[in-house]
This record gives sequence, C-alpha cells and structure tokens, in this order.
Amino acid sequence: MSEGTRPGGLTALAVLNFLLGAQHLLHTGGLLVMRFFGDRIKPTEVREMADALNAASPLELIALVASSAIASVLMVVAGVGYLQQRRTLGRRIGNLASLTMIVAVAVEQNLLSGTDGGFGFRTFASVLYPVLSLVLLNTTFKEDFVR
Amino acid sequence: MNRRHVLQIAGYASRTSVRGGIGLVFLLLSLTLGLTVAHVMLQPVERAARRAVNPALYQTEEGRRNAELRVIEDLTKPAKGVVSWMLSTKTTSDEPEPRRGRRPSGDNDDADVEADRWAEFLLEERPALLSGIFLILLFSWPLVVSFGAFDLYASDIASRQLRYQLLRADRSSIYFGRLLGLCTTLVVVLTALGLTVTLYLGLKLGAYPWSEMLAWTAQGTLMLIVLSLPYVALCGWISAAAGGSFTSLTLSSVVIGGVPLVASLGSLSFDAARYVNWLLPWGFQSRLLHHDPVQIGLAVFGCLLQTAVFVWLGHRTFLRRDL
Repeated sequence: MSEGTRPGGLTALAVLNFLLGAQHLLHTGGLLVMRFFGDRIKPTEVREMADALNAASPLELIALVASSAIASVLMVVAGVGYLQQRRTLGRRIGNLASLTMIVAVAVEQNLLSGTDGGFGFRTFASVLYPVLSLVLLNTTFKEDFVR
Repeated sequence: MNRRHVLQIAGYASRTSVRGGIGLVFLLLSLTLGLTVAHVMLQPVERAARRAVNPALYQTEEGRRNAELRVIEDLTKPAKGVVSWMLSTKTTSDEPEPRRGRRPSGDNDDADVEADRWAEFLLEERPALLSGIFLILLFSWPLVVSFGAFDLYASDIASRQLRYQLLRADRSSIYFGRLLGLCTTLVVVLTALGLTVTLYLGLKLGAYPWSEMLAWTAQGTLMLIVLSLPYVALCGWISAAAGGSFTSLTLSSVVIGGVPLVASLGSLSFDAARYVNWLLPWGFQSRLLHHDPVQIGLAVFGCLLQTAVFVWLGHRTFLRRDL
C-alpha cells in the first residue's frame, strides 16, 4: 500500500475511535458522579448502580477509573495513528487500546453486576467494537500502516 | 458474460467491502440495529422479572429463570392480540354486514383465525422474544439494506473509474460480480447479526434452551437473507441508473421507505392503494415467518421473482448507460 491512499474503512475506524473514546470517558465520569452523589438519586435502577459503586473498595474504584481513562486516551491516540497510517501509533496502539477497552468493560461489569449497569446492551456494544477493531487491524488493514 | 470473471469480481468485492468506509459503517449499523432491537425487547422482561421475585431468589439461576419465564408468559398473553392484529390480512375498510346469500363467517373471520394461529406459533411455539426481534427486523432491515447497497456502481460511474475495469471484463461480468459480492457480504453480516442477537439473548436470559434459539435464529436469518435480495437488486438498479452515490442513496431510501408510506396513507382514502405495498416485498414479507410452509414458499418465491425483475432492469440499464 503506497502512502497517501488511506482506505475509507480506516478513516471510519478513526472517527469511531474518537467518538467511542470520548463516550467511554464521559460514561466513566458519570459513574464517578453517581458514586459521590449517589444519595441524591431517586430512580431505583440508578440507585442500585450507585449502591454497587459505594460498596466497591477504593482499589476497585481506582482500577475502574484508571482502566477506563487509559482505554479512552489510547482510543483517541490510536485514532490519530489510523489517520496518519502509522505502524506504532496506529496498529500497535490500536491493538492495545482495544485490549484495554475490553479489560475496562470487564472491570466495570465486575463492579456493577446484578444492577441495570451490569451485563447488557452496553457491555455487548462496548466489547463488540474492540473485538471488531482487533480483527480488522490484524487482517483487513494490516498492510495499510505504512509509516 | 464470463463466469470466472464474475466469481473473481465477486470475491474481490466481498473481501474488500469493509475496507471502504461504507462497508464498515454498514456492518456496525446492522449489528447496532440488531442489538438495539434485542435490548428494547429484553429490558422490560428483565426488569419485571427482577421485581417479580425477591432479590435473594433472583440471584439463583433457577429463580431467575422461573421469574423470567413467568414474566414472558404474562407479557405474551396481551402481546398475542397485538401481533395477531399486525399479521391479520383482513381489509381495513368498514365493510357493511354480510350481503344476503353469503355465509356469515366471511373472509375476515378466516383471516382473524389465521392471524391468531400465526401469532400463537410465533409467541408460544417458538421463543417469543426472538420472534418479536425477527418481526421488528423484518420491517426495519429493508431500510438498512440501502446503506450497504447504494454504492454498488454509482460512485465508480460518477468518477468514471469503471472504464479501466472494462478493459479487462465485460459489463455483465462487472454487474453480476459486484451484485454477487454484495450478497455474500450480506450473508456474512446477517449471520453475524443473528449470532450476536442470539448470544446476547442467551447470555442475558436463561428462559429458552440454546438449541431452540439457534434453530429459530437459523430460520429467521435465512429469511432475512431472502428478504434482502429484492432490496439489494433494487438498489443495484438505482445505483446503475443514478449519476452519483448520494443520489443513489437518496433514491434508494426514498423508494424503499416511500412504498409502505404511500400505501398506508393512500389506503386511508382509497382502500386499493394498499396494494402499492406489493411493488416491493412489503406486502408479503411478514409471511416469511409464517407457520404454514406453503405460505413461506410463496413469500420466498415472491422475493425471488422481484429479485429477478430488478436484476433484469438493473442489468439492462447498466449495459446501455454511458460509463
């Protein structure tokens, strides 16, 4: 693949990385707000999630925030790498971002299982994209990182 | 037309479909649609099941399964009437009392009984939630298909890049090769969609046995593939006729979404307008999930017939147009 011929799919993947990275960061921020202002929440479903977060140990909370923040930043960085078709910044960081995102979702599920924030649509959607990214980066777009 | 060229073009088109942004967005759109529909169907059941039993019992596998089964049964009863009404083929006009000499139980009564039996099949004999998901997908999928099929030829015609392919392959091989490639991609996408939805439902809800769900998913996915064919052929025709990809997307979406809209609005003042639905599979596509194999066969035949007509029209347009 010559320089300057970026496939449309890679551009789409970069845009999705930016969007999902930002969305994941906002989601984690929301969970933290829920953790610290949980006593003011009235709806039962959200209340259950706040209670589950309150019951978590400080170490678990740190793991949740750290994994989510790292995954989000890596997603955005990898997005830039996709656009520039860089081997390290794009493919390698992209693989790492996908794996970190899966770990972050697993940590979140561990904390919120049994509540509305437990295993569900969001989990599936959050895992689906990193898995798809891993497959595409190592098959379809493998030769496109030329810099 | 050269069979080897057709297969080569089809293989290349399906292999590289995700490389283009359109293919990737189509794949993600399809999976998101399937998961969203599954989520919308599942969430009320899960919430109601959680409230139906005490939390300690809900934590056990058996307690959760029993609660979910009970909730599904409770929800299925009122839903049966709605599904039966949706599937009913009786006329919408306010017909007068049966005329003298006609037997009192007319066609409408037969249609009601038939629709009740059909609803019973979908909600009681098959996994009800999966049936609901497939019914929704059956009516929403045609609108998504255009996002995957609108650019079969349009952008290459607009940029005049097809001229370079014409040096090596004839027009018919290109036309059928790309169409076949897209159909292969659709099979892969729909299989992924079916498996994702079943996996989500199976992991989230323990109410149905896996074997039952997988068998019903296989049939539902096959029917979605058959349903996609006429819409893909229609998009192919529009894509071959349109001067650009945006025009093609707009026209495909307007035609696919416009047919049922015209039929339903038109039938408010003129009952026969509902037959406009039959220009596309909208008029009979729900029968792909019928309990009677004859009805399924007829619906499949209808889809294939329309596919043949649209493919013929598209091929004719592609052969004659300036590339």
